[in-house]
Amino acid sequence: MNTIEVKDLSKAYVDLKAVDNVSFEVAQGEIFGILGPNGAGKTTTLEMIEGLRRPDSGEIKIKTISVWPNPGATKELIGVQLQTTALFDYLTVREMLALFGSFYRRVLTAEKIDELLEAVSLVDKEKARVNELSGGQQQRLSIALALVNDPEVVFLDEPTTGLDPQARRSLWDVIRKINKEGKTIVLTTHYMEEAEILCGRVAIMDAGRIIDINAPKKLIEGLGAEVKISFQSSHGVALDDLEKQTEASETSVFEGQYVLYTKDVQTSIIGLFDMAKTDNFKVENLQISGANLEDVFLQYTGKGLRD
Amino acid sequence: MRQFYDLLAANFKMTVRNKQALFWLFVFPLILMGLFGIVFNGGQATPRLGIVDRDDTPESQKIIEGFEKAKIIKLYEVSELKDAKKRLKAGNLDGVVVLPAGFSKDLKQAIAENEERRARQMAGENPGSVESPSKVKVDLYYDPSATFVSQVVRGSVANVLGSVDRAVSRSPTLLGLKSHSVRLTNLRYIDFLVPGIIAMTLMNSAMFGLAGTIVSYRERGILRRLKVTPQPLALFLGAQITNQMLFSILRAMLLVGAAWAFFDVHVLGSYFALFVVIILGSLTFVTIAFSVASFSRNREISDTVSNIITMPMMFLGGVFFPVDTAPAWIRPVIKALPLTYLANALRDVMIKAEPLSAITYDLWVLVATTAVFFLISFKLWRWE
Ligand SMILES: Nc1ncnc2c1ncn2[C@@H]1O[C@H](COP(=O)(O)OP(=O)(O)O)[C@@H](O)[C@H]1O
Ligand SMILES: [Mg+2]
Repeated sequence: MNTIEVKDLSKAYVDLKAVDNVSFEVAQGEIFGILGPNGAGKTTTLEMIEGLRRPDSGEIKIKTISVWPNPGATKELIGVQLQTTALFDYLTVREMLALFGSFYRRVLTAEKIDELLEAVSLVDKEKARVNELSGGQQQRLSIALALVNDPEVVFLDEPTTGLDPQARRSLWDVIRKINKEGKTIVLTTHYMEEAEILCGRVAIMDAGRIIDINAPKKLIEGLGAEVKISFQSSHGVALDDLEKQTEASETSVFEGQYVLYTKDVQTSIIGLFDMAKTDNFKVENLQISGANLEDVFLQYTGKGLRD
Repeated sequence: MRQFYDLLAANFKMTVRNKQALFWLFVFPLILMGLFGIVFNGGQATPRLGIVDRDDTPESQKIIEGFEKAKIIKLYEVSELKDAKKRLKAGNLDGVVVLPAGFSKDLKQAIAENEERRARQMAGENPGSVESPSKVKVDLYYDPSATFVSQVVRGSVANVLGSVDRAVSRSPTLLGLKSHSVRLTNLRYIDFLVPGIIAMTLMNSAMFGLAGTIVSYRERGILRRLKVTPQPLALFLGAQITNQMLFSILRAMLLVGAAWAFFDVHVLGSYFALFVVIILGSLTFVTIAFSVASFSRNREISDTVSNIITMPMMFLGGVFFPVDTAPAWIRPVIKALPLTYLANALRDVMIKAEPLSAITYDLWVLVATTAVFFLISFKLWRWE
């Protein structure tokens, strides 16, 4: 059964189409990602589902209940972490959880707070104030706040933006743990790595539109290129020559970085170095990797995920 | 109800833990009051009592001797009541006692009646049928709003009369004190200042505390975060306002208590009237604060606007000095400031002992101001 159904959703700010006719479903128990660069319309989409922004048109259902025009009906069912972390300065972690718990019909017991603290690894910080928490701890607290009502669906808007790699990884663990406990999760991100690692399915979004939705692996396979070879060169290299010599399916150059996709790594590498010898250029920073979502995105939109 | 209580408790905690705000809203007014009180008040001299002897008999002389022996006052004999009153009003005296003409005659008669009454009682007659002796009146003129002085004057006069009473009549109830209050011009500065400071804190706590907090909650997205919960935001704001009122009362209690402890300032009016004025005044500035908060995009803007609003009121609203004698051209400005009416009402209750019925004009102005700003904030309010 689908937990969320979004159909033909649109919203414009003045004449900017922030969300343009978007449709998707999220199944019970999955981690669904919306991947796209800044300004793609991820937050707008999410906040319309959460009942914070009114759509111009379209329909949103959570557990078969329509969110609009009466968003109050679904508030008990959802847990939300907004893109900007908003917390009270003078309350401790535990007090904040208790206060937010009091907003819901479901009673939040002290034991339940203990469990939440445990889930987000903040047990030893329960008496700390917000300003005594690191960025990663604040993010974990705001995820815990999204869980005080034991919601059916949890919305996380760029939960790891601005965190260092270690904090990001620990947050991924938290998100997986919550998902294992049966919660459906919808998150947005502009890190392809994050979407690839966490999400069962990913919607690729750009300029208000959803370009494709599938499992990350399927999206990458869809490129038809198994391996990516990238390098930098001491001189300019003609792309059509490169494609011929390496028998690549596709070549591109982006900010001095040459990229080619191939199904036969050996042939391509030999071809590349033969070419370097005859044309007298030097291959630097050679990297060979499987294609990833970044490449999918590049292929669809002709631009990178990060500005 | 339970939810409201939780919110209020959380708000209370946050207020108490905000050290900086606590300083500005509690410690700073105390310091201000202390500094101004010390600088402009001078030491507390012995109360000066004028005495007018219109009877001029051995009995009246005995009373005067009694006053002379009392160490807590300084006695001045004045021949004419008119002179004495003039000196009282000019602040050269703190109280005037008048022994009326015929004082000794009345006293003798009262003693005689008293003796007769006793004799009849001894003879077994029903005492209920005997009229109790009329008291011999001594007049006292003083200003009840000059609290410390007036208490010493009244206390010492009653004390002296009591001892004379016992000495001459063997009955402590013959001499009665008839008080006449006289409005003096030498109201102590500290008496004037305390209600002003309370009015100022009611204004500042709303304009900087409440408005700033709400704007920063909106700016930082806390209001939006609350909006995705089932909790009605109005309840959150209601708890915020209740918390504001609560602290207004606490702060006023602290200021009144400190003024009493350090400067011997007394609240002459009823505490109920004071409570009503504080709640109404707080509400007035809460609605003004909400109006400012409704259009201020961030804390800098709301603080700047609050400064623009509070600055003129601090100086023209009659917090630190009286504005009755201000030049005519600035009067309309003074009359347009809500703080003028709040400070007035507080002062009337605290130092003039006026009942609520005597300050209805000020109260209605505050009610009207509250209504207007409620409508403004209601119209302009934005959650995001
Ligand atoms: N409240 C708003 N008013 C006007 N434009 C907005 C508003 N919110 C977002 N936008 C614009 O809509 C587009 C989508 O924004 P957003 O949904 O925040 O994207 P994302 O979350 O993917 O970065 C952006 O161009 C942004 O500038
Ligand atoms: Mg966003």
